[in-house]
Amino acid sequence: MVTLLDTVLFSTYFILLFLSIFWLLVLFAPQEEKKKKAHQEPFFSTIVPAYNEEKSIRGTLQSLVNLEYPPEKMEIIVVNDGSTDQTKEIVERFIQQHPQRKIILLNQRNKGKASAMNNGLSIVKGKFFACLDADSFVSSNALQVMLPLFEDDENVAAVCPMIKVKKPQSVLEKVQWYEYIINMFHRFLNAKLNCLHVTPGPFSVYRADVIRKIGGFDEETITEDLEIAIRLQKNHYKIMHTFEAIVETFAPVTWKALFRQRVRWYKGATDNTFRYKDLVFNKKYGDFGMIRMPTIVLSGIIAIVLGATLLHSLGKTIVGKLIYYQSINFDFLTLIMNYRPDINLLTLPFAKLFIAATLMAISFFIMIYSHKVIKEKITNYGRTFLSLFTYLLIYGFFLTAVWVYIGFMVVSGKKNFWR
Amino acid sequence: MSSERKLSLKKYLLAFFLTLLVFSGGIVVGITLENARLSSAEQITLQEKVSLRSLQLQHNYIDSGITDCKTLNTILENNINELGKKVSIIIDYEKKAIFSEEEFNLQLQDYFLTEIQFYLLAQEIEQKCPQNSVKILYFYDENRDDTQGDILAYLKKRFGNRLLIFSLNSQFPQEPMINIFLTYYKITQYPAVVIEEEVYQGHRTTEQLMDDICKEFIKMGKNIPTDCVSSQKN
Repeated sequence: MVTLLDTVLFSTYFILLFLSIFWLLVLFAPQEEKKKKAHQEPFFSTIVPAYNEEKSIRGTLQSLVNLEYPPEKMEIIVVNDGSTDQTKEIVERFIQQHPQRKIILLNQRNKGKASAMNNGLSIVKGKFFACLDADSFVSSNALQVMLPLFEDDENVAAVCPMIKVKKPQSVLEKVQWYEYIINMFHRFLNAKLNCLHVTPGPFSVYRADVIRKIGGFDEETITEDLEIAIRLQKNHYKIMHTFEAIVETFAPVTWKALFRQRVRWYKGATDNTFRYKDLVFNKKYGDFGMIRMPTIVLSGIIAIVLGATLLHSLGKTIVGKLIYYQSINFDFLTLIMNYRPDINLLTLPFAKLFIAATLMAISFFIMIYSHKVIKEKITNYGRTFLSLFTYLLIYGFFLTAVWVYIGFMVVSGKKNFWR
Repeated sequence: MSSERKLSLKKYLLAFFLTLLVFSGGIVVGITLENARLSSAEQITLQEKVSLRSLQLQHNYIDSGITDCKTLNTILENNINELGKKVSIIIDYEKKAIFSEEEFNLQLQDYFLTEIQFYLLAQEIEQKCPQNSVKILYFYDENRDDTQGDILAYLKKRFGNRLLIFSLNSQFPQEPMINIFLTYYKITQYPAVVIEEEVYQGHRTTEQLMDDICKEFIKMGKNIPTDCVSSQKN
């Protein structure tokens, strides 16, 4: 007899297996070598939107100053988004200390990151510009490896760097370190099919005239980096990715902060999938329409359905056991004293065990292969066993909880509570 | 700006084909496993039938003194203990069955019949030998969540071989013999237990069942289990 749990498990397994095999085919497909053109050095602008970033803004600006790029061909535009801390004063002091660099400070009342980006974009002089969150730090070679990618193809509108968690200290940070590496590997695969749907805040580089042409950053959405990427895709521009430029960013240090961050990200992803629903399963948008757009929210739906079914099944078993133990007055002694192990291998749930084993094997393969591609060791920064255990066995439940919360937000029509 | 978007149709088709291939492999393994379970169920039923026939033959020789009551009771108790364990295995197989549900149902029907035959034989043996154990017929409804079966299993652990439990699925449509029992004992509510011809309908708590069982042991008059002695004192 096939139960509801079986149906959900098998359907989920089929979808996950299909997606895993598809991405493996993408991974091992031969790719044409792109010739790198001689590198020109166009004028380049960086916009740094900052809201209460007094702790990290100086380091962020320093990493921009350290970029291996001619200073006369570069400008830094800091948009102070109504900070109430010392951000403004620190930036002013930094400008005084670097008179030879072109650093502009714009002050606006608090309107959010997208507004700050548009404000900065209005005075950008460069053909290309980047956005750098004020809690991120860019590697000095970034522009040398990112800008040539624009020269290859006029249709490339954005290039994204490799993002890593900066010096993970706790288990939670290390878990996110793993997650970022796997996400980057996934982005690497998506980029092969021009399927990137986010141009992350930390140092994504854009072609300025394209962003102006499509109307700048959307100030209504809570994930402007995702919205702009989908809009670029809608207009058939390319988004590329490179592992050679590295940006390090701080990750949330508490589960609560992480939960809030993920709710914002995934809710933004959900909202924008609904907003651009005409792209979903639309052949006109190629692989982006056929596989990327549907899977943005599909992962959430799978998480909710699978989580709810497993919880229902687990809850039913636990409640049943509790009722039983209560009915025998919790007489565990009799049960233990009369316990006779009766092992019959044929009663084992082989199908479920097989599904669990293959999904674990796929997870391990992705974990190991992504580290190999990104040239990082799993054991870096210590806490390996505990972090791996948390990432592989517990983190999924956390993300499921995030999706369940978003499910409630969607059903109840609750608005976001972030600025 | 280009409007030509690439669609990796070949990769989708190949991925779908490979997924189907892995699934087909899984289905083949599933069928093989189910066949192994079916053979195991057949083996179990056959073993019980052989034990039943052996016990029936031994029962015929009580009067002549070739077999004695003590040996016969021990064999009966051991067989019924095994019955209880094995019926749960077949039920488990039947629940997991996808391709051969019909065959498993037949096995289960065969098993319930053997169980009923054991019950009737136990009644016959009682007429010739002094009663040493309490027999319980337990009718459950497989569509309802109930802890009655678990409570009986717990009591079985407490009383050991001196409690003989015969569990029958009241909703098993294929077997008229179960319906005959239900009609005979006028059972309309589930779960139901028949303890030595005394019918109790609806859920019984551990304490109620303990009392019911102990009442029967006390009726027997000798070798009252210590659990019953202590509950009587309380």
